[in-house]
Amino acid sequence: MLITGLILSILLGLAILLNISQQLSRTELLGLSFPAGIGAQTIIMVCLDFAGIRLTATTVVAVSVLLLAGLCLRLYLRRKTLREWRASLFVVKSPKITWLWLVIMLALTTVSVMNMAKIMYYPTFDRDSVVGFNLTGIAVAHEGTIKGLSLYNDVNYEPHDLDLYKTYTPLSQLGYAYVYMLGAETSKSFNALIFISMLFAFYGVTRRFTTHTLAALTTFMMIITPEMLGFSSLSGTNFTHAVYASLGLLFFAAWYYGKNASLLWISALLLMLNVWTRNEGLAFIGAACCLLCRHSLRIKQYKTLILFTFLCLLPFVFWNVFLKINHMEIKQLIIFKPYWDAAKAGILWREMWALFTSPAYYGVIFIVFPLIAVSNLRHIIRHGDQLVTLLLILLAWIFYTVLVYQIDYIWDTLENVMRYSYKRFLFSFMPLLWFYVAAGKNIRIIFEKIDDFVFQPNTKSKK
Amino acid sequence: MAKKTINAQQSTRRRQKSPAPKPRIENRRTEQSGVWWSRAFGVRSMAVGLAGAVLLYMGLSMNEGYKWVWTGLLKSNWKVIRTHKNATIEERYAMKVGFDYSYLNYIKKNTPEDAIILFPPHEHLSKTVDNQKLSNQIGSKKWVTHFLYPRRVLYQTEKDKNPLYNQVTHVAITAGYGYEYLEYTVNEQPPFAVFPKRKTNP
Repeated sequence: MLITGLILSILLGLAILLNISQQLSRTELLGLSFPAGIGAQTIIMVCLDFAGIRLTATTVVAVSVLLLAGLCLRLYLRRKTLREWRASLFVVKSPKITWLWLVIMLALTTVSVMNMAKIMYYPTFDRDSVVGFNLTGIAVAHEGTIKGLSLYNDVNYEPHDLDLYKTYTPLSQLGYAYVYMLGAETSKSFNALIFISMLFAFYGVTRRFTTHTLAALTTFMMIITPEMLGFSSLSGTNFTHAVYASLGLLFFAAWYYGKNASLLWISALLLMLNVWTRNEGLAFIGAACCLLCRHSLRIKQYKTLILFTFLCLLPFVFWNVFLKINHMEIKQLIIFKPYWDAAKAGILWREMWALFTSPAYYGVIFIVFPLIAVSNLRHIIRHGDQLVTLLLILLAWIFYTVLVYQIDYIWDTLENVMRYSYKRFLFSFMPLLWFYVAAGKNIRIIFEKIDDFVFQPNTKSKK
Repeated sequence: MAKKTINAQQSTRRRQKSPAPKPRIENRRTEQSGVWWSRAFGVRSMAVGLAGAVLLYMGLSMNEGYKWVWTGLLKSNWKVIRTHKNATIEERYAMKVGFDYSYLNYIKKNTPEDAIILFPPHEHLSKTVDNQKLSNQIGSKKWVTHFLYPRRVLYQTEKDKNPLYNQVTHVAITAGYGYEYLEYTVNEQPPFAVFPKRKTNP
């Protein structure tokens, strides 16, 4: 039942992706199918609950199958336009793989297998998941409701206890609930599939810009980011959020440089699910919308911008309407009025700097990234090389830092929030930063030269 | 015009039944792939691979974080997983949560799903008895609820403010505390246990 349910999630995701775009590579499709499918299923769950239908494995699976059938029918009706894609699916091009690629892939596979084993072996034990996300998943699976959930309504809890569960948008919690409904002992299969999806999708999107060897090396360096790899095996929402947020922006960059309209909608889908995972996802949507706005102003067409922004924000609005209608509002913690607090800004900067300069958390990325960015300066100024990727990173970081600054910390100190929450939020930037390192012109050229060196015809042997 | 010419050529070929130039294409493919394989795994590729592997290893081993990833995170957990590969889910929980899990699992097994369980005040929760000690997490209602769900949990400190207090069905005994909340006397008093609050309870 569990395996069938998870295969259904993957097939649903695949059908959604194919309906949006036929420009995705096989690796990207492999990587994005589960995140897209489970995201859609969690939206289905909230819709069912909204309609007063009990959430059980049967109801969720039945609606998912119906949706899958609808999407497949749409694909069938458009089969003529899919002909080219179908043909390309079975074409095996000679990959430019080398010994170096094999060495890196071996290292990547070893790390992935060992981490997957850790994810699946240990049940949920980290505090945040035990008291929040995983407990909500267990309760939803048992009670079959979100709006009537005992954790949200029970007299046994203090009001601030209840708020904790509602603060977060529900993708991870409902993902866990789905897995429990299917009879799983622990919710870790969700985390394992998200982890493996990240590897494939990141490799795929990086490969669009670089060689196979560089894509493999970047994927390896990204995934062994110490703090992020450590957290990927826990049931917290940060790693899941990093998958949706970073891939959302990377597909935005892929659309921008490839100018293939369908990739923009893949980006919209991922950014929708990013804010469906954590509210802070708004920072990433903001970054993408700013750059799309710049593009729209240039070409003087605004329809795409409006639709993109509407789609990205839709889940966030939907969840807040759901909370409001079901009288589940939470205490507002954001200060909407702009203000200046030098002490608060000082703490923010000090703690941020401590994180950036600590080699134990993020490996070498905060050394490598500035060096590469500076070395690419000439290409950035002359040709705007990967400027959009840089701007996406910068804007998302600024928006999130402003968001952190505007929060009223009534439950904890800012220092603690920076040390524990902000630290984990930076996971979303790791794929973006590593992607920039690889896609920037200098490194790209070095690896292209390596490939040329390996693959150039041996003139001596010809003679 | 060009199309017409091609069509004409094709029709002539069909009529004459001349052999298609298939073998030549096949030969070319084999030739190409042969060259490709020899380059991809040739001496140059091997030299680059070796240099890359050495550089990667040296680079990673210079950073504390990456060293921790290999030794502290992956290797040590892999060893545990290999050693205890047949461990049950309960044993795996106990590996991470320790005595807390064993205690809470015991409560779960000995109470019905609709039980409302009373825990002693927070100051009595984490005392050591017979070298056994519960962690501070036992004082967190949500943390305890995760392991006991759908049973409901409350603490003696909530006596005057929690409406569920009068509906308590079971009492959790921690570090020998909690017997005073039972409505009957227990002869044998283990330090960690769970009892129905009233004797009539199942």
